[in-house]
Order: sequence, then C-alpha cells, then structure tokens
Amino acid sequence: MAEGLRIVVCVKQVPDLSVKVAEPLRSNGTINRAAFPAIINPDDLCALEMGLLIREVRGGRVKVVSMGPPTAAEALRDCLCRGADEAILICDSRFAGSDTFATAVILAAAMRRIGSVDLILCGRQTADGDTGQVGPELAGLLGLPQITRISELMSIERGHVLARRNLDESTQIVEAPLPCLLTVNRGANLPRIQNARLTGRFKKARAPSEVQGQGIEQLRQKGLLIEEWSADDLGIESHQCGIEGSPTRIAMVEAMSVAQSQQVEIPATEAGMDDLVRMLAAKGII
Amino acid sequence: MPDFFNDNPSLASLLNDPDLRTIVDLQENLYRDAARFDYAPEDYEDAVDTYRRVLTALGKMAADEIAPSAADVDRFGCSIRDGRVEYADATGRTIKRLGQAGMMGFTVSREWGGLNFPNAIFAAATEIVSRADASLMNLFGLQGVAETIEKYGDETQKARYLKPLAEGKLTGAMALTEPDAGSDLGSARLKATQDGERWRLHGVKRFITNGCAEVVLVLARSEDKSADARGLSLFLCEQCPQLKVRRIEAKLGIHGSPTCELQFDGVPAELMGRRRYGLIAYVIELLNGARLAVAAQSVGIAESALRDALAFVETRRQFNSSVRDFPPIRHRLTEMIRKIEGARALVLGTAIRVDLLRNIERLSKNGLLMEHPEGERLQAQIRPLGKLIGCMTSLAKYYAGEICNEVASDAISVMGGSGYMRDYAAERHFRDARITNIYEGTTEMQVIGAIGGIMSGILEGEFERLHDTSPDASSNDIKNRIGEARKLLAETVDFLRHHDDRAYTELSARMVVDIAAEICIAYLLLRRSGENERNRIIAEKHVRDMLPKVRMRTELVRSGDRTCLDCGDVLFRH
Repeated sequence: MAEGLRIVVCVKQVPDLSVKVAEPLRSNGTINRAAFPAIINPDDLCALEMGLLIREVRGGRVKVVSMGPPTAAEALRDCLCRGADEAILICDSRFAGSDTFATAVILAAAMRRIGSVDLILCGRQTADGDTGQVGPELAGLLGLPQITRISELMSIERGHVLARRNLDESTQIVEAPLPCLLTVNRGANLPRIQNARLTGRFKKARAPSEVQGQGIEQLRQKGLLIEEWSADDLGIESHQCGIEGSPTRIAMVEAMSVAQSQQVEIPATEAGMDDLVRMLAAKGII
Repeated sequence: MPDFFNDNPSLASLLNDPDLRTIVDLQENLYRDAARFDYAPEDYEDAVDTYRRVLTALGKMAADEIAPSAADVDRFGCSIRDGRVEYADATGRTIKRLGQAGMMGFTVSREWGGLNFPNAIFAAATEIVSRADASLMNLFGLQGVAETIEKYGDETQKARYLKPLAEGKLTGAMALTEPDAGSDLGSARLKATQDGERWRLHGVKRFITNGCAEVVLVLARSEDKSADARGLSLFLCEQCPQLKVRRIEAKLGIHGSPTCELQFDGVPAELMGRRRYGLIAYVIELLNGARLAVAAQSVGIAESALRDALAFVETRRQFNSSVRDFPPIRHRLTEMIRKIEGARALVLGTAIRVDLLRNIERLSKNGLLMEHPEGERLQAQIRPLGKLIGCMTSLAKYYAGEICNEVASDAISVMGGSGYMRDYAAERHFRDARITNIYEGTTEMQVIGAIGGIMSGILEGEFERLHDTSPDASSNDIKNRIGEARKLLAETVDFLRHHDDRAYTELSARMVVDIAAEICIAYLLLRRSGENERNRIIAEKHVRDMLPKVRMRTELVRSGDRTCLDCGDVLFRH
C-alpha cells in the first residue's frame, strides 16, 4: 500500500428535515421530499470527513459513491468541493423504489466494479430512512468484516483498523483487518466545510445524465466528469433492484403528532429537574 | 439550515450591485487566470457564482458553529502561560477550519494560494464572521497582513509566507501601537538597528491584536536621528526567543482576540519595502484596510444585536400587548435598521471603490492597463480615487463604529432588564461594540481623515456621480431633499473656509462629517430603493429624517460658538 489507502465513501442525498416547510408530509403520510432542500445525509458527511482525515495521515484517494436520481450529482459535487478525489453516481430509473437490501446489492456491484478497495465508509444511518441497514448489508454481501456505529477511529496501521464503537450504554473497542467496512456515527467528527478553491473548480463537475451526453470528453479532460453507472454497467437485473428486488413491504405509515395537552413545560431550575425525574419515574420511563 | 449570508438579503444583494461587474472584470484581468488556475472564473457570472457559494458556506459555518460558541469564547477568552498565548478552544478550531476551507486568503492572488476575491466580498465575509463572533473577526480580518506582504514584500518573503498565511497554517499580526504612540504613530520609538545585512528590533509594542502570531509586521524607527513619520520603516519578523509576549490585556469585550504587549529584545527582522516608507505609505494603506474591516465588523455586531432585539420583541408582551407594537419601541427598531442599512451601504460602497483603485493600480504597474478598453479613462482616475477612498474609508469607519455602539445600546434598551443580563447576547454585543470606534483609529481620527476630502470637494464630486446614476424612477422629492442637504453642506464648508479658524474647523468637523455621511448614505440607499418594499421604506425614511438633522448641524456650525475652546480650564478641572 505504498500509494496509500483506497477509500470509498457511500453518501446519500436526503431532505433537510431541520427546515420548517408548509407541507412536510404527502397525503399518504410519507415525506414530501420536494418541499425540503436536499443535503448530504449528516452521518455520511462524518464518514466522508473520516475518509479525508485518514487520507491526510496515510495518503491515498477518497472516492465517493452515491446511488440516486440525477439530482444526487449535486451531493457528489458537494463532496468534491470538500476534498474527495473522485465521484461516481449510480443512477438508473430501474433503481427507483429500492429498499435497503436492494440498495446494498446495487452498491455491492458498484464496489466490485471499482475493484480493489481498502476501506468502505458509510454513515451509520440516513436522516430519512433511519434504518442503519445499508452499511451492514453491503459488508455482508461483499463478505467484508465490518465495524458499525463508530465514534472514533483510533488507529489504522499494519493492515488493521482499531475503532471505538458507541453503543447506547457502553462503548466497545474493536479491531478489524483491512479491507473492511465502517459505519460512522454523527458527531464522530466535525465535517469540514466546502473549500473555496475546490468550489471554484468542482462546482462545474457534471455527470453524463446532467449534460445529456454533450461535452463529456471536455469534462473528462478537465477532470470534471462525475462517473455514472447504470444497472447495465453493474450487471444488475431488474429483479434485483427497484420494488421487484426489494423484500421490504410497507404495511402502513402513520403520522404521529403530539397534542398540546400532552406537552409539559419544565422550568430550567433544580426544582424543575427534580419534578421531571419524579414524573418520568412515576410513568415507569426511568 | 441557518445561513448568515442568505438570511440577510441586504448583504446578499451586494452580488447584484451594478458596480461589482466593473471591479470583477478588472480583478480577473478579463478572466485570463482561467487558463492558469482550475478554480479561476471564466466570466463574470462564474465569478459571482463562486462568491455566492463561498459566502454561503461561510454563512452556514457562522450560523452553525461560530455563533453557538461565541458565548463560551467570550466567557473563557484567551490565556497566557509561560509566555505562550492560547486561544479559546472554539477560536483555535475555527481558525484551523477556515484555513482548511481556503478562507484565510480572500484577497491574496491565486499565484500565492489565495482566492483573488475583491475587497467588497471580503468585507461581506467579515460582516458574516463578526455577526457570529465579533472577536473572531480580529483574527480573520488580519488577512491584510498577507495583502501587505504581497504588495510590498520581495519575492523571497512572498514565497515564504503567503501560501501558509492563505492556508491558515500561519497567522499574522501588525505591531504598530506603543505605550506612547497610539493615534500619533509618527512618534513610534521601537528601534531598528542594522547588524550587518540583518536588522534587529528593540523596544515595546502595546495593544497588539494576535501579537502571538507567527508572522509580525512591525513599524520601527530605522533612521537614528529622526523623530517623525519619515524615520519609520516597516519590518517583518517571526516568533523567536527574543520576541516575548509580556502579557495579554484584560479587556471589556472581544475576549476571543488576544491583545498582547510585546517586548522586542534584538529580534531579527527583515525590511519590508523601502526604508522610511513604513508609516507614510505602507502602514497608511494597511490601516485603511484594517479600518474597512473594523467598519464591516461594526455592521456585523450591530446586525446581531438587532436580530436579538427583534427576536425578543416577537414574543415579549406587556400591558396585554406585544412590545413590538409600542410606538417608542417601533421607532427605536426602525432607527436601528436604518442605521445598519446605511452603514452597510457605506462599507460595501467604499470597498467597491477600494477594489476599483487597487485593480487600476495593479494593472497599471504590470503594464496591462492600456490593454483594457477603458484604460486611459481608468488611469486618469488613480489620483482622485486615492483621495476619495481615504475620505470614504474614514467616513465608513467613523459611521459604522458609532452606529454599532448606538445599535448595541438600543438593543439592550428594547430588551429592558433582560438585555442587561448575561442570559442574552445583547450585553456581549454592547461590550464588543465599544472597541469599534476606538481601535484602528478612533472616531476623532476618522473625522480628521474624512474632513479633508469634504472640504476639498472630493466627496462632492462623488455625490455628483451618485446623483447622475441614481435610478430615474426615484421620486423627485427624494432627490430634491438630498440636493438641499448638499447645498447646506456646501454652504457650511464655505462658511468654515471663510471663517479661517483651524481650531474651530476641527471643533466643527464631526458635525460636517455627519452631514456628509448622511448624504452619501442617502444616495447609496436610493440606488437600491427599487429592489423591494423594505429598501424603499428605509431609503425614504433616511432621506426624510436627514434634512432636519442637516439643518440643525448646519446651524450649529455656522453659529461660530467657540465656548469649549475659549473656556480655558474652567470646565475641565477635576
């Protein structure tokens, strides 16, 4: 590994649910994605930051991969502006409706196409789906060791990763041999912002589907082409992706709302805190 | 996601300013850098798009990271241990992250790793940072040190320092003030002696922002028998054992910024530029940049204070009514808004003119100006623009520093007892604001700096240009009112000329400068009054209120009242 580590970071474009919008839900109870600005999933940004920090110490290249519609190229541009070396958009209308398993199948095919990889980094979970399944499924499909829910990368040397896992009530320190897959917790680091010089350059990067085939060669020559792979490029059959390839079925979606009468205001005082503890204990919550 | 650039349409509209195109075209030398640097813009739209993206990234960082840490930075401040200065945790982290983002070299050219952005964009960035944490601006704003090295340093100095400064790997400081040389920098005594090829510095500097920086520009007396400004040169030195931080000051505000006392015990140094030009050329220019940065900082602090006050009155109720509905509170808030908009217009308008001059000078120096389609016209502007900028920078620093204090005070008044408490940021803004009309030249010094350009008619020439380019759609009533104010200003200036009493002119100067500032702001606000309803209301309100104040000041100046000059010590004994 004299040339440094080959790192791939998986990112997803998600709606920024912290923004207040007029109609956050569609009539069927699902998120009204069009109403929210699109951002890179916050956990994935921590995964990217971890990849960039490893590169700073160990050298190598950081590739970012995103499966999504053509608009997901914006998330990849954002990653390039933050310092990623290359970007690949996995995009095909046949992928629409893929659940976590089908997504992992598609990403696994992408990883095989990329070839030799030392480290795959994913966010722990996405802000929209919240399942935390894609990373572990991807590792399973690729037959790679994995360390999930990482709060700290302690070392990466002699072909091994040592990382701290942050579980709800404990932490574990786990070692795994490379190549392996890590899923990174939000808060594991403070992701860097877009670099001004890289922004001037990579804001012009485009995926082929964004330019409809025009000027691809020119983009390639300038190092501004975002690779784009379809189902055919990855050898994915229709029955392996989309709704057909997804074992998950949504039985029902219910919108939860908390009524005003269920809210209790707790004064920020010692006495208020005592009351809160007593109240939670009385309800058996703690 | 909160964003201190795009949530402020008044600031963001800088990117629509028609004058911006002229300076960006010059700044980018008709976009020839695009062939040499992959991040250089290909055309004007490309350049502005990059400005927008970079200011947006900074705006988000300011809102998400910098502002939430500002209270802790204020509380814990900097510390010194064994002569080593440590920033507050968040300050050190933020500087590193800004450097990582390439944002510590806004105006440095691409050749040296900078962004080659105009000063106007840097001024906007400075306002954003200052709104989040006023004290951070003191470190962020020291990018002028790199600009000075780029302009006056030799090739070795540029190669050694510019890239690391632009990347935030080194920080800079400018060491000018001494215990007995504050506003009167010409009397600086720190000694530079020649030791063979090398210079050595001996003496003390005081109130040095970020004096712990790795690269320090020092104003020192290189000419042994001199006693005035002409004996001073500018030197560049690095941190070394002979340079000691004796202490950091305990101060009222901007706690995140270390204000150092430096002792030079034979510090090895290099001459920057030419001997004897230290103060009369280089430091004057360095200070003009720093003054504009402080003016932008003032607007940022005031904007933050205003927003805190607006958020407070949104929910505060008294006597069964929203506090926001009380006429005196509405008046106070309107005044705060009007002053901030006026100061911002003045700061950005000045920055655009600085960019115009800087670029004409640069192209002229490189022999490229005559390739420009309007080369000859631009060449002829160098001298008058230089004078105008000297006047307008002082005007902007003076006005912004003063209104910053007024707005920060008013924010506390609007919030009542709550505003006085540490639970809210208003008291921090009030403390941080207090330095803005003191450092980098006090209000009194700015008045002196501005009055020359007013008395000589330089500013009147700019008013004429602004009048001619004001939107046709603006009402005649408004233009007439501004015209009347200009007439009163001209009469006042005439009065002072004929009165021929230097002390009295100095005594009246601030009122004259106030009149000029109000007129200048009126034109600048008028230019943007057609953009939206808010701008129209602000411009009209400013012009309506301006005339009675101008009349009052005119009358006071023309009264010839010398009481405070003639009373001797009667009033001032203690």
